[in-house]
Amino acid sequence: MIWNILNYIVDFFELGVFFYCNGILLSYWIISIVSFKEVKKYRKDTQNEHFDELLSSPFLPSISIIAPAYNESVTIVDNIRSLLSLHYSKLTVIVVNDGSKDETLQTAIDAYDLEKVNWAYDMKVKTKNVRGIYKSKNPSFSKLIFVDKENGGKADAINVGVNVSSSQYFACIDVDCIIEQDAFLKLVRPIMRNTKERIVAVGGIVWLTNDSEVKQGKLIDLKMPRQFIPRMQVLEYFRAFLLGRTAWSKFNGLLLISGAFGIFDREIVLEAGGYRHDTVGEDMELVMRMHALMRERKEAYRVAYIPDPLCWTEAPGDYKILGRQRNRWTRGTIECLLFHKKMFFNKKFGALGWISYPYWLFAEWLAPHVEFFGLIFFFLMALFGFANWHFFFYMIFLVYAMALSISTFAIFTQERTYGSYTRISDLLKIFGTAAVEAFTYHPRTVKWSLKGNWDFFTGKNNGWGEMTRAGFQKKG
Amino acid sequence: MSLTPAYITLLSTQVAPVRETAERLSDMRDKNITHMVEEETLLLWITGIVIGLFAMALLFFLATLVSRKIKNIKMARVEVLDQKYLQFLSELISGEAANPMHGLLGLQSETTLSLDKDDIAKALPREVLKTNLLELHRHLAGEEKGKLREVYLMWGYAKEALKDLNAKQYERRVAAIGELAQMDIRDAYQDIFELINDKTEVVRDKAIKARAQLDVAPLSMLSELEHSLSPWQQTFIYNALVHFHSENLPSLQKYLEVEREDIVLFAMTLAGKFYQTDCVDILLAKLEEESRDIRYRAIEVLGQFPSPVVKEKLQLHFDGATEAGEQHQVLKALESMLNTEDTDWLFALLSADDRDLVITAARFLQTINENADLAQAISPEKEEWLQHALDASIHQL
Repeated sequence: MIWNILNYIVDFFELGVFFYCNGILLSYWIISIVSFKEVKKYRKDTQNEHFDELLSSPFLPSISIIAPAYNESVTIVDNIRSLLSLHYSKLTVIVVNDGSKDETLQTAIDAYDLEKVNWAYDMKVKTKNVRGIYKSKNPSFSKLIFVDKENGGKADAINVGVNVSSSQYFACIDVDCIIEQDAFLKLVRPIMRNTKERIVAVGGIVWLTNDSEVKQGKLIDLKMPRQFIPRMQVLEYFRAFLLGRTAWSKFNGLLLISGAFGIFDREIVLEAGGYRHDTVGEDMELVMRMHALMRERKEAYRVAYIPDPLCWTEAPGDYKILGRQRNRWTRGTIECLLFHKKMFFNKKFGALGWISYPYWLFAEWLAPHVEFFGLIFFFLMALFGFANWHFFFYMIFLVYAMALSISTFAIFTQERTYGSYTRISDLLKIFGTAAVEAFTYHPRTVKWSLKGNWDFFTGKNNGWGEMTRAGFQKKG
Repeated sequence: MSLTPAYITLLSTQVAPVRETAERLSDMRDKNITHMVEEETLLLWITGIVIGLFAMALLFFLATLVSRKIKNIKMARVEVLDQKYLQFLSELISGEAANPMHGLLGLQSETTLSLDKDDIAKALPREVLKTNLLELHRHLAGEEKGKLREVYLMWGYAKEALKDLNAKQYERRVAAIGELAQMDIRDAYQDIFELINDKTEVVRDKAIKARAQLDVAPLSMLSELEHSLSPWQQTFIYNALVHFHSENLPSLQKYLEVEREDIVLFAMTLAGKFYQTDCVDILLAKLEEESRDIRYRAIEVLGQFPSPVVKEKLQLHFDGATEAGEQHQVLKALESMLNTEDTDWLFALLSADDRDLVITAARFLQTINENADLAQAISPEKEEWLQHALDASIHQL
């Protein structure tokens, strides 16, 4: 009996892992090629558009930007000004002060001449207590609504914003991001063009600005980060945002819209129950719940994606903070997959159940486990002299070549589409990063992922962990 | 936390059983993958794939660098040409070598009123010249615009664009429609007008936009459209109507009564925006439509035609409406038509259960009768709604 079980294990690690790895890498290539074609098409389609012509349109959907703020007293004034200056005619900016312990509220009151108003807060989605809602006495800031509430976390703060908003769509953004001036005009393109499906959410590319020149909330000169860790993340963002999500959107199987930047159909979000508080992957969980709801309603819909860099943010600069972020992402992924396990190979969910969910399960969640336990198995064999070293090195080369080719393709795609990095030296740096990723960075991501699994299943760490950024203002 | 020490401990304490197991596993693996096919064949395959992938990576690396190098050279060249052509065009249209337009365009004021043969013949300079010409034309008006159009015709850009209307690549068709419409090339009208039903959506977008601008009867295309009219396309038509046809816009009645809902909804919005009072009767009839979208749009648009008849019909519709949302929509539409005679009706609405309805009614009551004692008429649990309503008009809530 025991030998039969061991036999299966051996089969799995040799046959299974071989085909698993090749299957995953093949799927990466399929996704990459589909994305490349889609991004090229998007660029061709929009190169002659004058988005500013939309500003006077009576058909533009209204949007509320919801910006949760926690202890942002240093940057809150500039961040609000930057949001108020965005080019969109039907825009409301809702800043939600999530029980900050510093002077965030008073700073905003002073800077924007805010006064408390009598607002009948309608708790469509249950939230923590709202202490007050403020509007500016200055008509120039009439688009601004400032909400002060008890601390309840990011999801709770966004839910308050959703309750306060009366727009058709709301945008969820991180308050310290730099948003392109015409970002929302571009983001509503799929909503205004698609007459066959209801667009329930739209995401856009988020890219990194570490070491770039930023002035008054605007990106002046994009440079490749000097440090290895942020540079590595630039490469990851190329792969994820440019090559990954575009293809998933094409199949209407996009499960994640970045919490840093995306717009959502408010009515559908309210019907779905708003953001959940009991997960650290609340952005992905909401998108999955919206998918499920629309499938229940049997209504034609789409979670769209704009392959256009519309939002810029800073990447964590050291392994400690990055590790916490990846740990949280892993726990968030597990939570979302468990919450929505009914999707798994469920024909009711179409491409979502047959492709997206299994992909996230097998390629995103399972991959680090297979990699880690595969290596353990191999080292056990090697320890006693039974390893086929010849075969092992061939496999190492195969995996390395696959990873390198995908990364170089991502850089190539970036260059052939947006070409945002204009210095040859920047491109050489990112190619160099791609070449060493497998040995220096990748093992850490596997470790963080396994740690995330461990923390989730042992219940040791359920929170967000601290995230600190250098901040644009300090550099600008 | 590193996992390595844990595994070393595990191995050191259990070497014997692990070794035994490993030997057994080793026997088993002989039956597995490397022996299912000839090992050499498998390795040959892997070698081929690895070489192929490395070659691809190298290719992407080189292609990226070459592409960037070419783009940078091109960008530098374009920058120089931009400066030269902007200067040339500004001199050309103003008719003088040193003119005030240079200051506006941030140019040096040296005269360069001449072009080489290469400027017109070579692909890149020709393209840059056209881009500058079109951009300048877009931002100017009057006589200068006419001069630029003449230049556009003289240098054969129109001929090229007319050819491009039939190009296989849809992006060339899109660009051609855009510039021909901008330059108002009459020879292109017919071809462009037919492209409103092109199979490619972006071509249709551009053709619809162009036709709305160029056609003397811009709305005639509404009855020719084979695909649904998106809000994106509606925006282009609306903008063109505002800029080019607002003085002589024909009646929209015809389009309010077609079968297609997208056209009807669009025509309803236009009727409101262009204040076409002859459409009011049809709009009132639309209140009885089955389609929720049409009913809601009719209510919204009727709010822009204040009159006793509209008010009466809307109030009747309010009484008959079953959804609180629809009632609220009607109440909002009535805003500019309510007066002191409606005080009792609005007071009655304060007892409704719907939050938005009560807040809007209280807000309107406050507007038409500042002395109305709202607090008396509202139940204590709705006091918060009342306060919201009172602040709403001050703070645009």
